[in-house]
Parts: sequence; structure tokens; C-alpha cells
Amino acid sequence: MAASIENRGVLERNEVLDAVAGACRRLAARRAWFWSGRVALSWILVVLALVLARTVIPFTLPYALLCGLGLAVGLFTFLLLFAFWRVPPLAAAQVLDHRLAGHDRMATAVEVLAGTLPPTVLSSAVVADAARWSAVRSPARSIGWLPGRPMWAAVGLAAFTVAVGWLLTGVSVPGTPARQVAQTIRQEGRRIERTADAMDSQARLDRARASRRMAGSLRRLGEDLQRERLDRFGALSRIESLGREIEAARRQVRARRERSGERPATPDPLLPQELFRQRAALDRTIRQFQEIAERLAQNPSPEERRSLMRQLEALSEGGREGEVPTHGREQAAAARRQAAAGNAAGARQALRQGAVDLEELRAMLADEEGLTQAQRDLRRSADRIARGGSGAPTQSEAPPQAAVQPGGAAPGRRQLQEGEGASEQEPPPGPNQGTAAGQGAVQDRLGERTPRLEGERPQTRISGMQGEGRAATSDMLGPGRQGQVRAAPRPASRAVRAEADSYMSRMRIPPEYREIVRRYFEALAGSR
Amino acid sequence: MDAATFRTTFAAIRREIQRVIVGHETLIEHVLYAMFANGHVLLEGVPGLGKTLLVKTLAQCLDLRYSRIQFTPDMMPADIIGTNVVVQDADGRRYFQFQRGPIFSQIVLADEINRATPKTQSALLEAMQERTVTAPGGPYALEEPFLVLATQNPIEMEGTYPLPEAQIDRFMFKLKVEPPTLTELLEIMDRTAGSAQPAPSVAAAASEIKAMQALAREVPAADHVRLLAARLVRATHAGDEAAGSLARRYVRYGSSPRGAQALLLGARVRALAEGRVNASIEDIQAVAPGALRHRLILNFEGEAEGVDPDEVVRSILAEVPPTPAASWGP
Repeated sequence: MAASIENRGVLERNEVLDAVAGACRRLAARRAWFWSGRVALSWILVVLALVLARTVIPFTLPYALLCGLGLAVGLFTFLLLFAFWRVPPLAAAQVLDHRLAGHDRMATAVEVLAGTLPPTVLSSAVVADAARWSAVRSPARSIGWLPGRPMWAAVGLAAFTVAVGWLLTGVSVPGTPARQVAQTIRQEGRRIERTADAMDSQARLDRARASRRMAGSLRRLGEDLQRERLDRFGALSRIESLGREIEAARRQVRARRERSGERPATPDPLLPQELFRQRAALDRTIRQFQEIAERLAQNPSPEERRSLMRQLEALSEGGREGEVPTHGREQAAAARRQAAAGNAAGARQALRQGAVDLEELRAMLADEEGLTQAQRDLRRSADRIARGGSGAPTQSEAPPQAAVQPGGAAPGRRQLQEGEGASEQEPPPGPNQGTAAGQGAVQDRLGERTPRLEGERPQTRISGMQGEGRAATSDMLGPGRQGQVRAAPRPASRAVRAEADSYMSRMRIPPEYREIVRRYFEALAGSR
Repeated sequence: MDAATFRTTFAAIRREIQRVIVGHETLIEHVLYAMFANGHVLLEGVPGLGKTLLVKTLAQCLDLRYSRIQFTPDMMPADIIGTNVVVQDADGRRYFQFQRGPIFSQIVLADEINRATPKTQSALLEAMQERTVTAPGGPYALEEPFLVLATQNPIEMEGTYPLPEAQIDRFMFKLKVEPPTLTELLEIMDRTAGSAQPAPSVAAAASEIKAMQALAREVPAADHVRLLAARLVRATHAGDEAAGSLARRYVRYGSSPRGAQALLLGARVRALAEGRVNASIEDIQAVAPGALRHRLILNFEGEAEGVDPDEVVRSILAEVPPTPAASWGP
């Protein structure tokens, strides 16, 4: 009987202690959720503040990622606290009593079991009462494992922050740096759109298929930058993405050119002037092929025939400077053999076939040149957007040194370049600058400053016509205060250049002028 | 005596009293709490609310010796505790013999106690605290259980003598007798204006009551429960750091340690009456108004503004958190 009572007492004791231990674990979890929720909530509040600050100060903020990170930090905090937090059994018992209106049964029983209270005749009854009560009410279950209100609030705030971030993307407060960036993005959008138009027309002229395809993508990017609400990060991402596409296309073109038998020894990527030099050489070769073919068809005199044979021999050996591609040499050699055998028709056929092959090669070069130029334009736009339309031009935006060095002033080579109106840097000397008649320093040509320059103007806009061909218009951004108005050189309009090249290629060059024309193009290529 | 028997007996006594007394459930419970805690009760209420009937009914239920003392200004202490009278025996010899006064009962009704002079009122002091009476040939022990139930009228101040602090502190509870509600009043009319008068039957004997009093003192009270009682008492002192806002403003002297004893003992009895074997925070809070209201001595500002001590006690209960560990529940 006594043993039975003792066993029952042990069972009741264990029941109470189990209930309190369960409550301790759940309470530790609850408490850990509470504080981890506060940590996450604080984190996301900071992110929300940054999202709002983005309307004033332009900076890149992956807010969705940061919100997710905040929740992850909250979760990590929970695991950390839950692992190391120990809730005293008496405190857990008191919480159970408080939550379930236990009238301090559990707390008193814990104190009785711990020996804190002096034993009385009712001590065992207290433990038995608490055991019965915990068996009926399952007190530990009253404390849930699930996250508490702060953590749910953190989740809700994270969703709100992402929504606000999405809604405020591209939104900026007027008169702030953020608005300046937004305007720069739109300006660059317009610029890219114009570049796309020029690239498209050039590609049509050169029959450059890849450039033409990319011109469409470039135009869409320009339109998107003007139309969509993009922040700096979004705009740069789009530009970078298109840049990668263009790079892939350019590599394809280059690979195709290499497969066609032309294996350039120049590095990849080629500089545009390098490409232009190769293309100019190809143009010369193609014109020579066509000219020889036409002269062969006109029953040349023996003296002329000998001259043509010498030209064919020179071409089959790679030209004067080895500028004729391998395929062209083979066709020239074949034409020479046919001509030597008296088969003028066969020679013409070989020359025409050679011209066609070289034109295909020329189209590839034009493709590569157009794509390279588009890449440079995109990089320049990205630089402008990255520095928010203010500050000094970055390295990639600055014109290449070779392009600004005087190397000749041939038509189609003068280049406009944009720069800050207030820049103190002296422009490089112009191609015609000198002391001879028709030449002079920039300031000499400009004459005295006009009073108009003293006025307050936010922008100075320069428009002009660059010889024959399409109009080239540039915006000169900068304060309209006193100073020199100058425009540093930049690559000339491709449309103008392409028209000039096309015209030269179609034109029949008299032999006595060929050397002059050759020098002209060589000088043109060497100065770039 | 075990807890279950205690509860059964307590419920039986309450039921018997309620056969006579209409309403006043809280009042009846608190009177019983005081009795089983071996304390005394001061009942305050206007005439005709059933104070005397309550005490008489209680005495009838418990089969205890009952006496009623109607306090008047000309009453002397000897009228309460008794006096020596000259007695002649069969041999014709005369000697003094102590004639016991009405205090020598088990339930004493001190009716309108504030009508007697302080000298007479103080005759109760020793009896209430020490359960003894000192008289020539004494001291004389009072028979247990011993319960003093005093009444006083709060509205008739003419010719009354307010109870001295030392006297009033010896009452465990001061209970207010409230007027009956409409329903209770109808019930009172039905019960008392008819031909059959309800009569209570005996629900417990003196020995049982003594056993119940002993059991009540065995009820465990957790540390935080006892701590709450102590903090409540401390909060009644205006100069204490933990004083309640109203206490700080209106109280001149707070409760004595007897207040904390009353809180704990009352809570223990209430726990047993509720079927529990441990005192709880709720028990402390339930008995706090009755145990503390008469122990607060208001200052001039409190008296002038007519502050009700109950209001001060309520503010203290609201301002003193029940347990520090409650904040563990997020």
C-alpha cells in the first residue's frame, strides 16, 4: 500500500516535471521567435528606409534580396537563441499558470518539488493537484512553436518593402541626385536610340546582317530606357545584358571571318580603326578586281595587257603591302593564268568571283566594326549612367588618344565629341590648326567673345552640318557661363563615312590619282 | 481533515447561511474566510442591511456559543470582560468571584462598536489578539474558536468614537455591507414577510472548525504569491519606492504587517474554499480590499477630498504587477 502511494507520488512528480520541461522548450522557442522577429523587423525597416531614400539619393539596392536576407538573419537568430536559451522551470510554470488560469498550481508544485517551500501536510496534494491539472489541460501545448507576431510582422513588412521598392523604382524627388540619374537614363536612352538608327542605316549600306539585327535590339533598349521606370541598377543591367549579346554576335562574326580563310593576326577585339583599315584595303582590292575585269573586257592593247598582267601578278602576291586576302590572291592568280592563256572571259570570271568573295569578307568586317562601335557606345552610356550624369568623364568615356591626335583632316574624318562646357582642359589641336593661310588657332577663328555667353543658360546646344550627308547633332551639357565652346573629336558619323566610302568604291579612279587616293585612305586610317 | 472535506464543509456552512441571508455572497464568503483564518471582522453598513442577522445565523450554523454586545457610550470595560462580584457560600463566607462577561463566547457580536468610548473599545484588544482576558484571578483563556464580528454605522457620526488604529488593525477584514439589489430585496420580502421563517441547521461543530483553521495554515503559497502580498503592503506606504500613485498622494500611514498576514491567511482559506490546495495570486487579489482598506490612514488631502480607501487599494492592485515572470510569455 505504501509502495503504491509512493509510486503514485513519483508518477505525479514526473508528470509535473515533464509538463514544465515541455513548457520550457516551447517557451524558449517562443522567446527566440520573439527576438528573432524583432531582429528581422529592424533589418527590414532599415531596408524600407533605404528604399525610400533611393528616391533622393541614387544607389543600387537589391531590396528584395536584402529583405530575404533579413528574414534569413531572423531565422538564424532564432536557431541561435533556441539552441542556447534556457528558461528556468519556475518561470515556465508561472507562465503556464498565467496563460491557462492555473491559479499558480504549477509554480507552487515546482517549488514544492524543488524544496523551496517547507513541506506541509498538503505538499503531496499540491503535486497531485498540479499533475491532474496538467493531464487535463496539457499546458505545454498552450505555448505554440510557431513564430510570434514580430516574425509575422517582419514577413509582412518584407512583402510591403518589396512592393514599395517595385512601385518606387525609377521614382525620384525633383531636384535631387536621383532625379538627375533618371534624366541621365532617359538621355542615354535617346542617345542609344540614335546610335541604333545610325547603326541600322550603316548596316543596310554595308549589308552587315548581324549589325542590323543588333540595331533592333539596341533601339528597343533605347526606347525602354526612355519609357520604363528604371533605376540605375536596372538600366545598367539591361545595358550589360545587351552588351553581352553584342559581344557574342561579334565573336560569331569574327569566327565566321576566320572560317572563311581570313585569319587576322590582330588581337581580338580589333580596334575600329584597325577594322576600318582592313575594310579600306578590301575596298581597294575589290575595285582593282572590278577595274581589271572591265579592262579585260575592252580588248586591251598589248601594252595595257602587260600592265594588267603585272597588276594581277602583284595582286596574286598579296598586293604592295600584303593587304590582299588569301582568297583574293588565289582568284587573282587564277585570273592571271587564264589571261596568260588568252582566256579573257575566264579571267574576268575569276576576278568577279574574287570580288564577290571579298565583298562578303568586307561585309563581315563592317559587321564587326559596327558591333564594336555599338559596344563602345553602350559602355559610354553605362559610364554616364553610373556616375549619374555628373562628374568627370570616366576612362572608357574619354576618347581614345589615337582618335584625338592630329593625323589629317580628310573629309569624313572630322569627329565631334561631347564634353563638359565648363571643362578647363584645352581641346587638342585641330587638324587644320597652324599658321598658314586658312589655318589658325581656335580662338583666332572664334574671334571675340560675344555678350550672349555671359547670360544664364542651363544648356548650350550645338547643331551643325558635317559636309555632305546626314546631319550630326550633339547636345552639349553644361552651364552657359563664359568660356570656350569646344568640341573634342569623336568618331565621325558612320553614315557620312559609309557614304563617302561607298562613293569612292563606285567611282572609277583614274590611274594617276590612285596613289593620291591610296594615301588619302592610308592617312585616314593611320590617324584614327 | 483534508482539502476536500474543508471545501464540502465550507460550502455547507455557506449554503446554510444563504438560506437565511439573501445576497451578500462575497460578504458571507469573506466572513467565513476570516473565521477559518482565525481572524476578526469589522462590518460597516447602514442599519437594516442584515449585519446582526448574519452573525446570528453564523453562530446558529456552527453551533457555537454566541453573545451580542450592544455598545453604548456609557458602557464600561467590565461590561464586556466581566467583573468580580461578592459571592456567599453555604457556610456564609463571602468571597470575590469573577463573573465572566459576554466576551467569553465563541462568536461575539460587537454591535455599533464605535458608540462606546475608546476605553471600552480597548477592552477587546487583548481578547482579539491574545485570545485571553486579564482580570482579577486571571488571566482567562477564551475558548476556541473565537470570532469577533463588530459592526459600525458609517453615517451617524454624532456621539460616536472612531476606533483607534490599534483596535482597527486587529480586525482581519473590514467588510462593507452593501444595500440589496432589487431582486434580492424581493427575495428578502418573500422570506421574511411570510409565515414560515427559514431556520439554518448546524453545518459544522467547533472541533471541525478548529481542524479547518489548522488545515488552512498548511496551504502552501509559492514565493511569488507571498511576494505579491508583501509588495501590496509595501505599496500602501506613501514613502516607499514601490508606492502606488494614489497611495503616494493620499495615504499618511500604510498597512501594518498584520495586513500582509491577513492577505496570506485569507488567500489560503479562499484557495481551500475554491477546491485548491495552494494559494494563488488571484486569492491575494480577491481578499486585498477587505484586508487593506481599514489599514490605510489617509492624510489631510485624502480626507479633504473624500478619497475612498477602496480606490487606493484598487489602484495599488492595478499598479503592482502580479509576478515578475509573467513577462516570459511573449
